[in-house]
Formats: sequence, C-alpha cells, structure tokens
Amino acid sequence: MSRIILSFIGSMCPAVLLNTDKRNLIWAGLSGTLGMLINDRLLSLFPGTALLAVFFGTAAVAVYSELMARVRKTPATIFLIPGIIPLVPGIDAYRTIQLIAEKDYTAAASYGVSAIAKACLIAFGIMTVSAVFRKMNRAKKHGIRTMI
Amino acid sequence: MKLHEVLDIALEAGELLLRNGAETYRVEESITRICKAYGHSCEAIVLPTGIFLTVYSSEYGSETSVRRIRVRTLDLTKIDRVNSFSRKIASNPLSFEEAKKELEEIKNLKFYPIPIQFAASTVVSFAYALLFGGNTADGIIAFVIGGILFLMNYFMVKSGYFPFLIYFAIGFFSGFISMASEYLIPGCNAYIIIISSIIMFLPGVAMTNGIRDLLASDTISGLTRLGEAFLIVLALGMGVWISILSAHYIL
Repeated sequence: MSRIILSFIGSMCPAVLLNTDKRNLIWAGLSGTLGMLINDRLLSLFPGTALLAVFFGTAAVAVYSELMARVRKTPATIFLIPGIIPLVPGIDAYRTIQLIAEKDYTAAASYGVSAIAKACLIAFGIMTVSAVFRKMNRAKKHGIRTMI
Repeated sequence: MKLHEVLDIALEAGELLLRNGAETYRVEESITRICKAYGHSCEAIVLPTGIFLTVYSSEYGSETSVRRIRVRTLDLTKIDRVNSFSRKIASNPLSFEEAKKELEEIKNLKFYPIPIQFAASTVVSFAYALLFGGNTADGIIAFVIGGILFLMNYFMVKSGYFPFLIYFAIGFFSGFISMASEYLIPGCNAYIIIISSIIMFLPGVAMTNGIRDLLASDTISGLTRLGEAFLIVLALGMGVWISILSAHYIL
C-alpha cells in the first residue's frame, strides 16, 4: 500500500517539474502507479525476470496513456513521460559509471547492459502500443470495421 | 498566404516543440501538417540541434530556412498546446497575424511558481528514498538534499554555467552531504540518499527517448540524445565519485 502512494507521488511530483497542466496532474501520477504496480507484481510472481517486468509495466503505462489521451484530448506524452519515470534505468546508468570509477569492471558491464536493455525494452513497449493505436485510428478514419 | 509567412509559422511551431523536448517525429509531423494546411508541400529535416525546412509551391517556387536550437528542456504543457495549435490550423487555417499571436502566447506560458517546484523536488527525493528501501532518516536527508540541489540547479542555470559543470557540481554536493550524514548519523545509507536525491537529474527519460528515435529511424537524433544522456551520467557520476573519495580522505 505504501508503495502505491509513494509511486503516485514519485510520478506526480516529476510531472510538476515537467510542467504538466494542473488538470492532468492526478492522471499523470496514476499512470506511474499503474506501471510500478504491474512491474512489482510481475517481479514477485516471476522472480529474476526484471526485464520482462519492465516491458509489461511500460506497455501498461503506454496503453493507459493512449486511452487517457483520447479521454482528456491531449497528446499521450503528457501521461507517458511521468508514467515511465519510476521504470526508467537512470539509476543503472549512474551505477555503471560509479562502478567503472571503482574499477569493478565486471559489475559495471552487467549494470551497463541492464541499463541499455531496459531502455530498449521501454522504447519497444511504447512503440508497439502506439503503433497498434495508430493502426486502429487509421482504420476508424477510413471506416474499416474489420480491424479490432 | 505568402510562402515566407508559412515558413515562419511552421518553423516557429517546430522550434517551440523541439525546444520543449518533443520527439523528432512529432516535430516533423506538426511542421508538415501546418504547411499542408496552407496548401504547400514541404520537406523537413529535424535534428535535436536544428530544423531545416523547405516549402514548395507551384506559383512562388520554393523557399528554405534553417533554425538553430541550443537549449532544450522538458515542458509538457507547451508540447500539448503547440500540438493542438497545429491540429486547429489543419482544420481551419488562421491568418498570419493570428497564428503568430497564438504562438507568441504559447511561448510565454509560465512554469509552475518556484516554491511549488521546490516542494515537488524535495518530495520526489523523499518518496524515492523510501521506494528504494531506505528508512525515514534516509528519506529526510534526501528530502533536504533534493531541495538544495533544486535551488543549486536553478541559480546555476540562471547565471549561465554550462550544463555539464552544473551536473558535476550537483553530483559532488549530493555525494559529499550523503557521505557526511552517513558518518554523523548512524543507520543511514549514503548510496540510497545519493541516488534518490539526484533522481530528477538522471537522464533515464532522455535515454529512452534516444532509443525511441533510433527505432523510428531518426538515427542522428537518436544518437545525439543518447550521447547527451551518456555525458550527463558521466558528469554526475564523476562528481559523486570525487566527492566520495575526498570524503573518505577527510572524514
């Protein structure tokens, strides 16, 4: 429960620093909570699959953002960027540099690879979801009903 | 509408988007949408450091212009507003003066007041210290350092130091205070305090955006963003490392 509140704060306050509009702040915070919750749940269900958990967490955030973008009539980025802040591998990247400075190259390599892999998976998650939503939009525009 | 007026509006909108941290594809899309709305075809190349735009028309020939962009921040409200501006123009082309006025209005939109930003950055550090498994003492120290780092960043940006020096100073300060508090207050974890106080300066989102650009085959933008993110992490990490070394030496 405390993690839910903390992750809500942890993405609502960055949203303030990124100058999100007042009426979207709460929704931006909820997007971070959703990503964090799914990430945590997957990690506790399947321990040792941190990358997979990050991917599905991001996918959930991206779906939420695309839906909210339609409800609140704003671009999806407004909810997406605050939402991925708890998942993003800034700390892994920092840890890599730290370990290189301490001459622990093996650990540095593992952290560095994990940072790059996480960043790639987050990007993949976002792009997959947004591609699907774009396709659906286009189908709607041209009146094709066979698309889901 | 004259060719150079269309060029001016499209470039102005593109600059606003890029300056406030929009993705490359969004900038290109908005520019194309605006030019199309006025009945011209165009070709745009958008890099993180500048925009090249040529507008073609059957009557007037073609015209090209370049905008250089130096400073980039993240401001989601402005991205939102320019985005809806370009959509509005697509359905209902405004006159040059009206469009110019509207863009000027978006440009002058204010950030949240400084006290609110200050409070937000302190609370972020507190929340992440607890999320990373620190105790309350860690949280409170991170809360204080987060606030000081925000003020440091604000005043250093205002007085025009170059970005990597600012990141270095932030890393150094954060590392030093954390080591000192670990030494003075029992039960504190310097590592947790450091990462939770610098979390807003770590370029995690920039890294992700860079890879997104790469995947969308905006190769140059993607590599530029990744390189910038790497340099920021490097400056922060070196600052922290030097402060830890000197703290070991002094304490």
